[in-house]
Amino acid sequence: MTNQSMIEIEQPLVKLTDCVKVYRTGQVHLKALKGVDLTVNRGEMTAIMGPSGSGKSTLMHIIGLLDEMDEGRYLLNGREVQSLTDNEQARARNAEIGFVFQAFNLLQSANLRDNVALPLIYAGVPVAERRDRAEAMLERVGLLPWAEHRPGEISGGQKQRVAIARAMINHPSLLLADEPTGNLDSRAGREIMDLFAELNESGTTILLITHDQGIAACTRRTLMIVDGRMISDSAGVNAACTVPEKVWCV
Amino acid sequence: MARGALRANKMRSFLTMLGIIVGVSAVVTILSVGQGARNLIMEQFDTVGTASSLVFSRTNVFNNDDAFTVEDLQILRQRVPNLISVAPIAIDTAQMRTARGEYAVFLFGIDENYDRIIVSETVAGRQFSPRDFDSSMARIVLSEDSAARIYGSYHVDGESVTLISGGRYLNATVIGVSHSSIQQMMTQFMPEEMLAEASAIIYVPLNSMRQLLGKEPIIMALALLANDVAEIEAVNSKSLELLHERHKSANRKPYRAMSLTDVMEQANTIINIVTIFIVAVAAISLLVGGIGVMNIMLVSVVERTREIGLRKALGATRRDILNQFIVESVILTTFGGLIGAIAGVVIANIIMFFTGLKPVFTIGSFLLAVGFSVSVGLFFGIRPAMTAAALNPIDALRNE
Repeated sequence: MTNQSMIEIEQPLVKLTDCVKVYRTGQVHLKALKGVDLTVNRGEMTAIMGPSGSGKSTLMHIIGLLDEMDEGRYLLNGREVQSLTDNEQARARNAEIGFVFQAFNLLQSANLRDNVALPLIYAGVPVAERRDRAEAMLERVGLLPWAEHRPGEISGGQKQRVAIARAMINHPSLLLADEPTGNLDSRAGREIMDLFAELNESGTTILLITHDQGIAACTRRTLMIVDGRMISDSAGVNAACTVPEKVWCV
Repeated sequence: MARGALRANKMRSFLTMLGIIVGVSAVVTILSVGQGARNLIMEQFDTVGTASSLVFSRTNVFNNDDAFTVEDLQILRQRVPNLISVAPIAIDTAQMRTARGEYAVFLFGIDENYDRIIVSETVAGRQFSPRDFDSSMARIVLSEDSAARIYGSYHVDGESVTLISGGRYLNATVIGVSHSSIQQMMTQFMPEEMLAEASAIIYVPLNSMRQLLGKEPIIMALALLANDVAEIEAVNSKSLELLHERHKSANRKPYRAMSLTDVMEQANTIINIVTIFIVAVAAISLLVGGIGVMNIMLVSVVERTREIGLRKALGATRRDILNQFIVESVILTTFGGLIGAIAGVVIANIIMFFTGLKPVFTIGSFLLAVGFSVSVGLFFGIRPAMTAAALNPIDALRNE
């Protein structure tokens, strides 16, 4: 390990303290997060689990700078998030965070290369370089021959690999995935988890939401959120990965 | 990326552009055809001379005493201030025998003053020189139309013709072909029965006309030249006053003066009014087109809410989203404007084909039309773009 990464490890990538989020619709105030503390260090691969409506997606959106919390403190890479302007937050989403969604969220009218290159447009990367880098990412996820195709022409598993390629293209320090295997069959899901494992091994910090125990078991750390509170934070270390068919665990 | 969205909805994009296309093509067509019409009129008046006017009688001078006399001319010369020159224009019909056959023609009998007042363009050969007006040899100049109709060519100088009127003959030589828009104006107040008789116009020195007719030719009109454009009105009214007095017709007032700048201004005003009217209609079309663009862009923002959320999640700033939607809107209207401009050129050419009018395409009318459509796109694109830019990324992403 180099000196530089030693220093980086000293500073947590995500440090969330007493995070409170309230949804207000008319008279109804719904407290989605009731004071969550979370620290994610570099190089971790963490699963967030919890029943529907527990607040796990809300937590992820706050970590991903897509939503703002009502109370608490959030340091991303040592930077106070609340003090960032709209544009600075957009830049942080672009440079430091990669998103993978359950529903893939690919642009249907663009081909795979352009879909993968999308974040680079907002990073101000010149067209030729965008193209080269997008093709390199597509090659890494094994879809280079499909570069000219549109999302409608490929399978769900392939779509998610395109989405991961898009999330990774700007070398983010944090990869956030909200139910990345939720729309996939088990074989495709396994491939995606393999890809995550590979990315994690090469240094990407990954935070993923799942309610699949088997998937969660593949991560070294699992957080359990119920009713807006973190009720457990365990180092998984494959201990729970006992279900024989979940052979993709790393 | 803006183009991608437009391409994906080709039919919708086209229908959205249609209002802009109609508006811009109307503007380009009317401006170019209008300018063509204006040029045509200017071209005609250029050859006449702007400080001149024509005095004529509204009555049929062949049947009454309203025809002008040589004495009238002398009186006008003596008593109208600022009048530089006055020329008689005698008109009659005759037969003209040529190598090609016999034709009914109008004789325009003129003297040496005519060329000072009415500017004619020499199409071929030469115009009258002062000697021609005194010469016993009859020389004639053909109008452009007559030369084309009779000889099918303008190279007719030296041709011999015989003029025949009331059993009298006069041999004459063609010396040239000239063009002057005064011909069309003169025909406006010629007696109808004369117009029915002949159509080709030839110019003859008044002396030769006198020789042919064996009597004093009937002077149907006077051409006046003032020393300045500003004096024309005064010259006209003084001349009319004297003429009415001399012909003891002050109660009937048969004479009229037509100042050429007036006619020119009138024609210009009419073209301007028509142009303004049609451009206003086109502007309404562009406005409606712009509202259509805004409507479709708002629909597009709603439809693509998820896409906007995604783009924001991937790092797009408000400005990026704003720009994307404004660029889409401007591409729509600019493209519409370009198609409209091309359609305008095509329509103007079709109009030219049927009317013989020469449309004039100026860079200015293109810039106006395309610039206007770009502005329409900008103006009507801003509101939807702001709506899109203001979307909260997570709300947008949750949108189904």
